[in-house]
Amino acid sequence: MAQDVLITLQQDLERSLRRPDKARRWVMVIDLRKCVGCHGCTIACQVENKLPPRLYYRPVHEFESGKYPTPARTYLPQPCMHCDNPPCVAACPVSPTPKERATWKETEGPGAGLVKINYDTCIGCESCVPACPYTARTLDAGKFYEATPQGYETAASYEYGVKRNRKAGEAPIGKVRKCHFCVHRLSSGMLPECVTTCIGRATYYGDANDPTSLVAQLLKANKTQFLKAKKGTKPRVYYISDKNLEVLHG
Amino acid sequence: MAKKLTPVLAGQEGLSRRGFLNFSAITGCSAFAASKMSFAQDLIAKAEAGQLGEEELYELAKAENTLYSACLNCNTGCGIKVKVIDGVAVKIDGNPYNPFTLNPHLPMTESLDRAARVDSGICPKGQAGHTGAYDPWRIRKVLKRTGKRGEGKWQSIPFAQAMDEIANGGKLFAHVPGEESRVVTGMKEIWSLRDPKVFAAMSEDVELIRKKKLTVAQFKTKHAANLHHLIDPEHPDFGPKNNQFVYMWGRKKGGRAEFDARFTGAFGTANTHGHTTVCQGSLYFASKAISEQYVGDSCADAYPYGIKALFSYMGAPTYSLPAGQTQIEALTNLDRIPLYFASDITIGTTSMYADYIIPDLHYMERWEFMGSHPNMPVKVQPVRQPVIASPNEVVTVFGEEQPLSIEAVWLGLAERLGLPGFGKDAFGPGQDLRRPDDFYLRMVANVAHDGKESVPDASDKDLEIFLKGRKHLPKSVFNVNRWQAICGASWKKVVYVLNHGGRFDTQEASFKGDMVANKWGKQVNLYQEKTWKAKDAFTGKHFFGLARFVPIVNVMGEEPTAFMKGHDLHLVTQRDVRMTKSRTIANSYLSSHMPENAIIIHTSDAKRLGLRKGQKVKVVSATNPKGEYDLKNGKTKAMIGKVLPTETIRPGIVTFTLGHGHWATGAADMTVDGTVIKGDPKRGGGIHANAAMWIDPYLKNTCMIDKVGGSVSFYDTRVKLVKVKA
Repeated sequence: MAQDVLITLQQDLERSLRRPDKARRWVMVIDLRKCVGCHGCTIACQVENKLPPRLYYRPVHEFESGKYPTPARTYLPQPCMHCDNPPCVAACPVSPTPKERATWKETEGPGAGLVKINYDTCIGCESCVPACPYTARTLDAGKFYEATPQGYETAASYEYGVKRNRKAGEAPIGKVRKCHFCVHRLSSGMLPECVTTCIGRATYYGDANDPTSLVAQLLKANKTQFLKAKKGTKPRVYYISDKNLEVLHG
Repeated sequence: MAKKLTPVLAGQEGLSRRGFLNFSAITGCSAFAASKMSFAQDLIAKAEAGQLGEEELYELAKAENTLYSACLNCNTGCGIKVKVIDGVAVKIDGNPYNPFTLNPHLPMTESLDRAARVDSGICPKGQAGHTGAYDPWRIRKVLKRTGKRGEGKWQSIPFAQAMDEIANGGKLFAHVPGEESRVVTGMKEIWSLRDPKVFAAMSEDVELIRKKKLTVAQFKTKHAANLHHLIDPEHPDFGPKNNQFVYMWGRKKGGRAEFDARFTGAFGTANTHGHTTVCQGSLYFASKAISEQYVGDSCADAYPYGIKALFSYMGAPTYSLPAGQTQIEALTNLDRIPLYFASDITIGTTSMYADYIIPDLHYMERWEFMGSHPNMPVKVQPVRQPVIASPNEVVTVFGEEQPLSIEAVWLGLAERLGLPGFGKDAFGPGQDLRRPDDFYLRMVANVAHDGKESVPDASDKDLEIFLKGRKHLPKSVFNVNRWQAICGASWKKVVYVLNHGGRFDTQEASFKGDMVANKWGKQVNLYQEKTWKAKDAFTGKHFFGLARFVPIVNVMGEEPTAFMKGHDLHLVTQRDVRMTKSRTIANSYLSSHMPENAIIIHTSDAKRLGLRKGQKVKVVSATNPKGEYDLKNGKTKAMIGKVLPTETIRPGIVTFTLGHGHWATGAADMTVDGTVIKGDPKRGGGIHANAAMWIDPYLKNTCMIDKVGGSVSFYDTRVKLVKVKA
């Protein structure tokens, strides 16, 4: 009997984490034909990263096409694209030196290849926000769900491997936030939260440079698309869809 | 997509399950020498060896922070793992040991450390489930009304006082204008017939009357000494006065079902009515027609006889049922329902009409034994268990401290009534039933010992994980000595089951070749003779013995053509995966993501009616021309929603998703102990249009029904949309 895709992906992940950081190429592959539009990934991400109301790292957009009786609905999960040519990084006014930088393309560790943010050095100027063509970045304005923030809201998040309890006046409030492919989970040998909670198993994660990995095989076997490919951002998120995403989304 | 993916997945089949399970084997195969280990590789190696330092470790990956249970944000009841940090449930994911979330699932022999790092798939409701436990609108103490039913005025009272009052009755609401002299009959008096032998003898003779082998007069002579126990000696078939206690529930699962039945069985009432029959009766058990719909309405009609007390648990029939407003009418009728007490976790759309509301536990805080579903080939018994402390007041019942719960209500009443089967030596000498764990741990032990082979004992390491994971639970919930004493020799097997969130057979054992191993094994009757033999009580005609489409008719078998006139749209209801229940509005992550629902119609209908996206409209029908809920407290809730035109619905149909449009459950102002607690408009967002659904023109106080299956009509009403000025 075949094993669950989640187990295959986790085996791939563990194997890849044993490879040298620079040899790895983390990618996400999202098969829109399998996405059922449940928004489970969006909510799971909210909880995992203790995100405030209406701040989403991974919204799922809905598109309707066709006419009754043959209409279609396409769901488009949209995480940070972790571009290889990230316009957000270029827009950041903070010094790019390793000690002071606020957002950069990581080259070391389990998150090598991902676009990261350092909440301690980010000045919250929001220059990067409009620079991202995917609207992946949002300033944390400090809102909570309940008038008296509940324990589950102020509980620690582990983003970028740093344990922080979200409270007024402290990071990540006042900082720009975005999807980081759950690098804190990768470090524990776990898949990103949006991958594991997907009931349609539509999101795949792994090392494209490992030819035996499921993501590498998917990329080889399928025609893939990027969002806003013409922007030249070189995203690390690949979509498989029977719809033309340039027409649907841009 | 299958075409392209199949070869890829087939390739994966080469990786045996054994390979994954024996994880160290993969480590051993690593081609990298230690000197070349990258930072990450080092981390993984350390994680596997359990050598990660505090700073490095992601706390949600630790076995001791992972407690296994079962979801209840819908009836599927997926297996979940709740990650608890400092006593707070901070994250929920799928339980990989439970086949509902991973296919195939991990065998129970897989280590807890490994399973803690394997999260499996659950839906957004499951993800957000813990927020319901921390809902600021939860009630923590017993509330007693200080105003009229439904008026929203309450005082908090001690649990013991509530139990005394409900047990003893009296002028309980003398403080409410108009009820100064109203005497309420207590449970002690309703529990009239207590001798099981008399009970059995009378039941047998009622059967003889039904078979016309005994006359009522003969019955009366024979049972002269006990006739005062009957509701009506002229109608012995109504049964004893005990039947005047009615218990109705919404969503109740195994464990609580047995606990409740222990009380209602000992009490001797036949009136225990669940929700599923109404919603899916025709689907599940055609012709077994008993429902809360009839409970409320027959109570209000005093038909066939009047009742004295009603207890409701985890249900919102005023909200969930078609024409639920008819239920409000029933519940506010003091003559017909003289005492109404409710178990709920908020002041809900139905419990707001109660005389007393006793706080219940959230599903993160309680025991239950989820069932399976017909699409699950694996033999499973998921166990729901307390994973966090309850905010509820801790009360003492039978000398035992426990948080307020429905079990505390049953125990509290049993204690006052002296009901057999509760308290000291309830299960036999030295085996008491004084608290929920007395009951449920024994059920877990049954699960552990079920079948040919019992589960193994938990290892010392697993026992340590079990204890570490429950450090945050107060003694009123978890006490290792008490639990061990209850379980006796089965203790380590109970721990084994609880450590996995239930008991699950292996995937291998669930199939024999291409066939399922656990077969239905019973005859399926396409033709049901019993159903055909039965006659419709209203029309005198036989029911159909075969499945067939029956267009909606009223109880007299007439098509509601007059109701259709002038109403151009066919109303059906549906669900959005983010909401789906009356209770899901309390989940902040969900209600924030989906603050309101919509009135969904086809674009051609929108065009024909001149309606734009976002425009407000009111839903009206022939039986609800005002398009509103009359809340019977001087307030109304209009059925107004925003139009959403789409191509994805058939022209002529109108729909809305269930879960919004609340008038309580945090949406309304309430006065508690003289303080006004303002409702949160966010809790009342969107529309709920069940009140537009047709009321039967003959019965007048209930929605239309399918008489064979006992289902209510959710999909038949014709409505029109009336523009509302912004």
